[in-house]
Amino acid sequence: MYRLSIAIFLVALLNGCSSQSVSLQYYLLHTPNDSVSVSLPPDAQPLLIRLTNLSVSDYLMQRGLAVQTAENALHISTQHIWAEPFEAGFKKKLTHALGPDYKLIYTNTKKDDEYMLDLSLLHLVATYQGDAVLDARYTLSSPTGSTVNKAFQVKLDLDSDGYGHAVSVYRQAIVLLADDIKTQLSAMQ
Amino acid sequence: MSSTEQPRNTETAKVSAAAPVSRVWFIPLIAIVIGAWIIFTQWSNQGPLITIELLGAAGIEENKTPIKVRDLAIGQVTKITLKEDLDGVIVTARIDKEAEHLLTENSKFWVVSPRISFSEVSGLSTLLSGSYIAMNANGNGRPQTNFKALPRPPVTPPGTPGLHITLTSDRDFAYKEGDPIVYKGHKVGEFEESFFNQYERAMYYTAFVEAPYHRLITENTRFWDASGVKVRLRASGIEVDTGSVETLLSNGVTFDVPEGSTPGVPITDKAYFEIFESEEMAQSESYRLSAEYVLLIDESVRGLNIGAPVEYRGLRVGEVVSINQLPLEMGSLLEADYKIPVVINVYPGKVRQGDTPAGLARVREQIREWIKQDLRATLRIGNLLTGALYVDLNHDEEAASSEVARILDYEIIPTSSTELTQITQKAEALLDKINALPLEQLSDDMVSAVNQMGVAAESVRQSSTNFDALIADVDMKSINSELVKSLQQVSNMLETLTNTGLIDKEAQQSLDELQETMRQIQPLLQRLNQTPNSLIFGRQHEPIEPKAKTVSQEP
Repeated sequence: MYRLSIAIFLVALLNGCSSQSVSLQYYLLHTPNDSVSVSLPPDAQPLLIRLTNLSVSDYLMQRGLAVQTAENALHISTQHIWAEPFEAGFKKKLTHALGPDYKLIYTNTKKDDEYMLDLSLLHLVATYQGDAVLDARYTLSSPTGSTVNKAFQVKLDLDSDGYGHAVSVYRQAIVLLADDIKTQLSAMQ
Repeated sequence: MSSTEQPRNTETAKVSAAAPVSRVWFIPLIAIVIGAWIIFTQWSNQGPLITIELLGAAGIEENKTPIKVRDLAIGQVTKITLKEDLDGVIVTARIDKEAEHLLTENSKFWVVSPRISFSEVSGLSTLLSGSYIAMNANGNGRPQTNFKALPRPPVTPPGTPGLHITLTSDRDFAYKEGDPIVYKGHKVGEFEESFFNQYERAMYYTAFVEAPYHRLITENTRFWDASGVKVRLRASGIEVDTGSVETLLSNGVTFDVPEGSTPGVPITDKAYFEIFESEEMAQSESYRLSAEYVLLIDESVRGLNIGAPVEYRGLRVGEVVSINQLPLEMGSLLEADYKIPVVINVYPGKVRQGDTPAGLARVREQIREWIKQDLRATLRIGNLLTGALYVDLNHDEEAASSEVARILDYEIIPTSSTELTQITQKAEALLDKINALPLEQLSDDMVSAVNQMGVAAESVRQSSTNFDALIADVDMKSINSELVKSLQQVSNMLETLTNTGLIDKEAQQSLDELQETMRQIQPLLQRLNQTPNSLIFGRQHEPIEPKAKTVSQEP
């Protein structure tokens, strides 16, 4: 019995050591490929938009990427994870998508001549129906005091399987959100 | 008139005999008849004359003192004469004819006069109206005209619903007429009469228990004395017993059914009951059968009383019946090796063998076997305050087997030394050990130690003096100045760091790093949570990943 226990333990240890670990896959919302050098005219200054608040759903704060598996179920991956905090990546991507005419700034110091954006990201997830959904609520405030409240939702089809493709679709959705914000800004101006 | 005169027409006188009795005599005759009729009527209407024998004629007057039934006058005292033997008076009284039928052998007479005692106050109305002779009767029995008056009013009027009982006692307490019978503090009856039986040297009391309390008197009822306040110092401690307020001022008895006994059949006729000295004795007497044994004590029995408990393994199984009261054939205290005989009882009913001859036989047999083995009796102290002793039956493992000895038909339970003796022996042994201690050497050592402590104290005092001098040499002002300066510098440094935000920045950075570290650990924790064995066996590829939209998923 004693020898058998030692043999079982050694077999389990050998199996563990011989098992190849699955490599982790890291993903970025904002990729270096997005950084494109744009030359602005010397007198052209981007319009500053102060992001006063960015609230993100709790499941998006997880390190692993989430995928909706049923109407009320999510799966958070342990192998496919964000390379940086989701909030930081989202800010970078949104900033990039708003450029070059608009610049998103994050400091809390408010100024009266700035546009302010209060954004709540409710969902950004691949669904079990083959879609990637972005659902957000944002409020734009102009220096003149006018305010726009907007609910934005976009659903894009996933053309292929995998988290990599889903992340790329997420980027497209964020670009569409940025376009919508820009549209509202233009209207407010 | 002369003879020459012409006779006239004359008529011959008719001579008739005169009436022998004058009619006038009818008047006294009628008077006599009327008088006789009146006398007859008076005689026939008056009641009988009776005689009542009294101890004295205090308050009784001829032709004045009435005789009453329920406060209604039915007669009057007509004559008072002294008895020939001078031990009383005979009162002659005329009773109304309407009350003649009441004069039977069951009629009772007594003198009503003011009476004040602990148990009653009565007859106060006669202070103004004068004494009278009261009569109580029920009309039953043979006619009678000579009566002997009761010395005092009857406690219970005839016909009162209830039960008459007879109580007897040979103890040192006595009751008089009117003393209460109490049940749970409530007066339910009274003593009526008492008489002393000189042959039995016991008092007999007639008592009456009123309805409906007479139903409480059953064949297993026990009566015990409840007079005054009883304070007992016993082996079990101090006991204080009191009855009702009446029994505090006078004597009285109470009764109940012993614990564990059934009430039994209710008493209907006059029955005899013994008055026990205490409730405890009454309870004990509920067991009729007992096995008696003798203990031969060769030590002092001071503190051992009759009635002291006999215990076996802490349970009371009997009591002490007598101490040194066996016949003189046993010897006397004047003999050198005289052992004091103490008779004890063991009740079969108290050891759950049944209060029956069979139970008694079983108890005798068992105790006989135990005596042969190791059963011993020891006098133990039951109460340190009073020094009262009790008998403890115990198994002495060191006792040698022995045959059962007998004396005067009593089986003897061997005794071991009393607890007091054992304590004395232990105390003596302790004192011997104390005496054997080298007290003188200890005293010398203690003196030496005290001297050394004095030297040590002097050294401590010197050190304290030196320390005080050292403290006095310290320049406290310069030290305070340096401390103030150093604190000022620390304050300036902290202010600088606060103004430049270095502290906040460092703290924020540390928090970010900590948060980042937690994020790094999070997948590992999740994996461990989902598949703990993946640390050993590795993990599988996740089967779940985003899927492309298929044709079937098109809306």
